[in-house]
Amino acid sequence: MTRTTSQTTPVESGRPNAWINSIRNADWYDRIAWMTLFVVLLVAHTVFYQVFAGACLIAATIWRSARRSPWIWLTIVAVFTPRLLLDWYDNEDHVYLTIYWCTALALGSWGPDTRQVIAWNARLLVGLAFLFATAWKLASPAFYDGSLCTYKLLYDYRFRTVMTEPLCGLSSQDVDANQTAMISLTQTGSRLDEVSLEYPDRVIWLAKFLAGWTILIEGTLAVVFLLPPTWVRSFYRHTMLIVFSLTTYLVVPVLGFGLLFMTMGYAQTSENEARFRRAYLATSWLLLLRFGLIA
Amino acid sequence: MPISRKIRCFAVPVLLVAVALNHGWRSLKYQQSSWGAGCGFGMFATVDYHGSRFCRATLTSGSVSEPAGFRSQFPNLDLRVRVLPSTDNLERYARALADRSWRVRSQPDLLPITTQGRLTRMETPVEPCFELSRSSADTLPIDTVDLAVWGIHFAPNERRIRAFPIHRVRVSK
Repeated sequence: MTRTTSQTTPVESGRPNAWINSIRNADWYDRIAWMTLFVVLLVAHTVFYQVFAGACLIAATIWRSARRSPWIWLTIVAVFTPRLLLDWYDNEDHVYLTIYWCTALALGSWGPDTRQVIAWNARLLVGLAFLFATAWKLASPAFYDGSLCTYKLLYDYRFRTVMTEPLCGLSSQDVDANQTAMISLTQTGSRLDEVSLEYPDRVIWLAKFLAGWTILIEGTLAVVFLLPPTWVRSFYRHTMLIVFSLTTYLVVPVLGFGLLFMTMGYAQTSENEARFRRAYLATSWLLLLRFGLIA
Repeated sequence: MPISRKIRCFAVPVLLVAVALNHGWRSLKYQQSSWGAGCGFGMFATVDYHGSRFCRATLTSGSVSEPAGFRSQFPNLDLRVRVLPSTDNLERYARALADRSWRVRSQPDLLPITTQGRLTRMETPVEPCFELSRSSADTLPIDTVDLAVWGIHFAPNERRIRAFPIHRVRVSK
């Protein structure tokens, strides 16, 4: 096992100046470690996992050696994996992707060429996630005919308040009628097999646009991230990922997914891509702000 | 112990592909929810997923056969059935229902009314159904439980949502 070392700032407990220096001199790897540990804290849904993730984040902030060791990532993987295996039905995709990413960080830190191995894993994980997401949507008639987007525009308050009501003129009476219809259909004890909904045609047009846009941007992301890096300039990968995150997660604030993609994008920046590193960090703060506004 | 560069570069992507393909296969074969719950990255792809699925049960006691109202009392069983509507999961849920005490609702059921998308009041009596009973005085012995998990099909142009049964079981006590 080889521990990752780049900038030599000795840090020991009881030496606040050295600790402040280690924070001030944080490099690419340090920032990825913090961003990832924050995402781990976000996906920890029970008190045990929250305390554990919080302890990891604090340890990684205090001790530079902790955040640069593969053991912190291996410990996280070991603690979260039983939950993913035993409670698999109760975990969302981004929890799995977070643990895949922690495994990639452990393997990346476990040997030479840390930066290249981590960037390679980040590129493939992002590309594969979007490849499968696009394949599901292309295989689902309910997606490409606009049904899913219409359904979400009517019943997901995040879409409804940001898009359906202001852009399509969905009235509060229609909202109430549609909610009542759905509850009447799905409540236990119901004998109904079918209900009617009320909404203007503009909802269907918006849904078709959203379906087309989603397939276009997710498919493009899959292509630019999975094609060999020499075929596609990194500029397009970074720009597409940031545009996707801004257009998606500012509307639907799935903070875990959004910050994880920003972390994996950040991990793919080369030494001379400081602008994109700043853009990833700025987008992360925007998503946090949006999530704060929603909460 | 050194780990080969190939393993460090390909182990995690291969794991992601294997888990996602497994999820896709289970969704095709067992109608497992495409969304979350298994990491196939099928979120926001289908109208029929565990968030839109729901369960209905009909209880039979002697000559009385009525629907049952129960969902919030069994959150874990309910979620499992909606994520993976297998015979095993449905039978486990149906047995849990059969083991509880039930009575025919003395008050007529109420239709929920919402304002601005939020449940505000209940009105308009509809039909009678079984409900969970806390006292033994008025309970009825349950002979059979018919439990089904339902999905929805949405036709945007017709402005209609239709419910359809995905899988159902019958458990006798």
